Amino acid sequence: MDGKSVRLGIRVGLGLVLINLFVWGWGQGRTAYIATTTAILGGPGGAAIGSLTPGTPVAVLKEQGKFSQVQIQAWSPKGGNAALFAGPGQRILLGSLSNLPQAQRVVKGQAKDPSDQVWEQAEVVAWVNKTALIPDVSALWKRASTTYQKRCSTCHALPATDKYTANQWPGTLRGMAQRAGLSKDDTELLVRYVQAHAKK
Amino acid sequence: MSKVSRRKFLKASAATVAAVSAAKAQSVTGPVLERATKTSANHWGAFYTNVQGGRLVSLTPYVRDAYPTPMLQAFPDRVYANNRIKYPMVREGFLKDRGNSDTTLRGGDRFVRVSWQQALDLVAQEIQRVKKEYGVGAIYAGSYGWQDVGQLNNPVVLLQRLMKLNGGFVGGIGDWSTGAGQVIMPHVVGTLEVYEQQTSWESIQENTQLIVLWGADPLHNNQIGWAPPDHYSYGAIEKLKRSKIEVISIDPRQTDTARYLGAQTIAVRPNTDVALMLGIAHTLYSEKRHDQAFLNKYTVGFDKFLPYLLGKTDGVPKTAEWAAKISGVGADTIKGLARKMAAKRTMLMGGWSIQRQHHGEQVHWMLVTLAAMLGDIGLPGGGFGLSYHFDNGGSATAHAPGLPGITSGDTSGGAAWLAKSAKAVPVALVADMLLNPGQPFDFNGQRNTFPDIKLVYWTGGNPFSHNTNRNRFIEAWQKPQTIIVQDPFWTATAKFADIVLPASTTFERDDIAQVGSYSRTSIIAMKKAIEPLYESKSDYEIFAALAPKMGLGQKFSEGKTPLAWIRSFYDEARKQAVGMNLTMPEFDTFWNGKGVVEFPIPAESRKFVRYAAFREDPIVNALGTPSGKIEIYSKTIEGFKYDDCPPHPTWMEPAEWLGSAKAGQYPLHLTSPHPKYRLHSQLGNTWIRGWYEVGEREPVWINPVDAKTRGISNGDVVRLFNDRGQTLAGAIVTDKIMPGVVSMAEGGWYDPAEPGKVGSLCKHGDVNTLTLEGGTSKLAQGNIAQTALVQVEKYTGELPDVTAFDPPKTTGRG
Repeated sequence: MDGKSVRLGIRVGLGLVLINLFVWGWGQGRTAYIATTTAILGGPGGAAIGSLTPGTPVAVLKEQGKFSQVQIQAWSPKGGNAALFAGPGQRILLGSLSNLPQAQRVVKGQAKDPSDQVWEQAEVVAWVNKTALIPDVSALWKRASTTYQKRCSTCHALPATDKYTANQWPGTLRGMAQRAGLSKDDTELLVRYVQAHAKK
Repeated sequence: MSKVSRRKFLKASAATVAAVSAAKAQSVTGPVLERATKTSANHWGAFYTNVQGGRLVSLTPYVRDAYPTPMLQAFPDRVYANNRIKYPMVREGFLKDRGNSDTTLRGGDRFVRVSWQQALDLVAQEIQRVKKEYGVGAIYAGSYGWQDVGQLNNPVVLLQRLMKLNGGFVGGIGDWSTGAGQVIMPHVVGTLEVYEQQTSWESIQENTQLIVLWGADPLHNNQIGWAPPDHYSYGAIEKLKRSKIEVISIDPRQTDTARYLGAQTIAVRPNTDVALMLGIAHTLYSEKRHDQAFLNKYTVGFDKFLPYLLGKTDGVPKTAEWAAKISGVGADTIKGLARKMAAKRTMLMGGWSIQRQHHGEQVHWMLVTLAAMLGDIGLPGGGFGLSYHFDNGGSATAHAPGLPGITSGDTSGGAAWLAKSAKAVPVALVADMLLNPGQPFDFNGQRNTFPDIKLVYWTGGNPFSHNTNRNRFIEAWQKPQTIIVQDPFWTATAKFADIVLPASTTFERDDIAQVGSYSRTSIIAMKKAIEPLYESKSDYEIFAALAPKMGLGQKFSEGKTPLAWIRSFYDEARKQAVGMNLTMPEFDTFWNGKGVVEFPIPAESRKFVRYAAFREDPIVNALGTPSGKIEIYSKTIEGFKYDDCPPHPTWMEPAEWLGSAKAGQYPLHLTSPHPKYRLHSQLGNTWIRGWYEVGEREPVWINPVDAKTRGISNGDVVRLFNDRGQTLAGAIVTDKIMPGVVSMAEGGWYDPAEPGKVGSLCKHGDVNTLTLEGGTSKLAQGNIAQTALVQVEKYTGELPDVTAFDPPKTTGRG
């Protein structure tokens, strides 16, 4: 444990932790969104245990100094616990866990996708740098939309975002990203943007 | 003097007159001692332009292009072609009656020269009139075509930028290259596939034991590229020739690639590829040579496909013997192919011609299914690839920034018209759209209605080349009130327009490009070599001048000069480069110096293996399909309930093929591959057509057996015909095409004996006078140009002069 975590423990106290556990248990808390690909930490200022992608909604459980504790609702294909997707069979990648044993990942249930594959519903609680959070996702999509229109209509007509499904978009967009001169960050942002506005 | 020689004499005189007037127009050129060499690029490659006395005299291939195409040398001739559009022109009847003109006169009417001022006023007035009377949903600006490279002067993007600022337009969906493939592949492998990087040629050289070219001819088609090509694949194919890798070509004709490599050609009846693949698949399964473990782990739906393969669902086992009867390939050959593929690390290189046929979706789907049964997908040098013949797929990707370009920008608001009818229509259905406003059409699970188009603006494209069923297209083209065409040349499309705006060529304007669609090896300055000829203007300048007349002020140009835009694109690439640990010189140093920035190729690029990550971990690196795996059975497609696109790869008889009843009347299957010495129709108007034309006509390949029964000799002018149309062509009698099949490249310029008339004989050889309109199925609605039966006869009438490359009649000068 580093110094920050120790200080946190002293300051927060048992009561607050319980309140937060209560909030967490009910899946409540202020909703915020990830602004850019962000490391998630085991504790405030702790080691990275994974990452979240831009546009991912999180419930903010509590704040501590520069850090926020967040809860992510996700689905993982059975056998692929490290991947955090938006829904069973819905491969909108919210994030991934690089250090599963240290992640607070609670399985809430199971479901089958239309292809009869089993998915686990998972709640993950982790810490992020406060600066990674934005209150409103629309500004992020607006920026993404501008980049999308700017970069993806020079060789061909701009494809409507609902031309492809959320699952089809990542491979399709990444396959074009180099030609469009998209940085890694921009690529991931655009993937999430077009997925959010994809063919249903 | 005989009639023919008199005509030739008159033609020669006309050419002399044209040459004199051209010389006059260029009298401002400088002394021959004034020389300059600058960089530039186009769809054929990167090069230096050599200018002498103000005249473009030759091109020198860029020093790093080891395999430049010989087509490059035809460009100076193209710049000074007799059929340059010199001035803004308006069709006589349209000038008089505007939107109420007799549109059946299109293609036959005379043209009147007008000033740029008049022309732009007229264009702006027509756009605004149609917008006011019918809304922007009556304006078609899909403007499909290959235009020219350059991040600024992309005419289609510029047109759509203008139309978006004007409130919107109806555009096109998909393209003519991969109409079916690009729609079916996202259902099967979860991505576009057809335009994505391939397993590297290095990986193939080190690992592959068998390459199967299925309707693919990389040597032929990699000469050109969407971005300027670096011709990387030529070096790779040269190495392939020296290697021990076996190559088999499955094709109705012996391709250049097969000939160069000494590959075995297995001649397959056109449009029967799925049947042949099923025969191979059946052999693999019945002999237990398929990779069941791969199918279990990486695919879904093989269990639903298998009963069909074995004939349990329809009583027809898809055996090699069954496939032999349909495809014309012997059962033993089919079994031998299956065994060889199973025994060796195999790369199936699929072309796109095989999906430009009725039910074309099935072909790429079945190819992927076959590759899945072989189990080499994701292994070095194994699997399948659908872009080895395009854009030099398989070339190593450089560590390079991307070069932005001008964009069509934002769509202003969700206009109400969008709800009523389609804002975009599959490109192969343009004629259907014009002929059937308000009628429904299906596309990829959606149903929409055709808009009622009143105005068409086409730039940087030639629908009178690429659109199938020419005579039906002419009828459709008579529907809109107003047709505007912007082009450097009097293509058939320009001749069938109402208002014609002269665009300059690449050599007459500044621009910038990145070399290599997949390889991204360099950024190159496309520097203006000569002043714009006649009254032509760059596409950017035309639209920038038009915008204020449409009340859009400086919104289109943002007040920027062409060079300011080019600088901004470069600067943005340079900004990215900083973050990538790359050094790019400042713009002025680049532009005024070498004009090229090259980028390094990382070692891992050379080893790239498509689907390796998926093979390594199919759960984490799942595909973009609903199941995350390769879908041999698609529940999504099942849900569409299309009678012409079932939920697993299926052999369905195409509308026309050698096995259909219609073959009694029209016994030859017509294929229309890409031309060897053109890019579609581009370059047809240069001396290079002398390299391939026969009797001044587009050549048609015909087997000696078919030629003999028709009394056709090598070099004869012949007439090809069917219910849809007729064209002359020059016969090449060769056993490089299989019996029962004739082959005529697409892109031969349309040249009606009776201009504007539906059903006219084409004097020169436009293969699309004979082809069938789209689409592949309700799923993709891709074009089906490869599905056509014809008859051929020796032409015994008096040979008409070819006028495809002459300007149209005018009322006076111009």
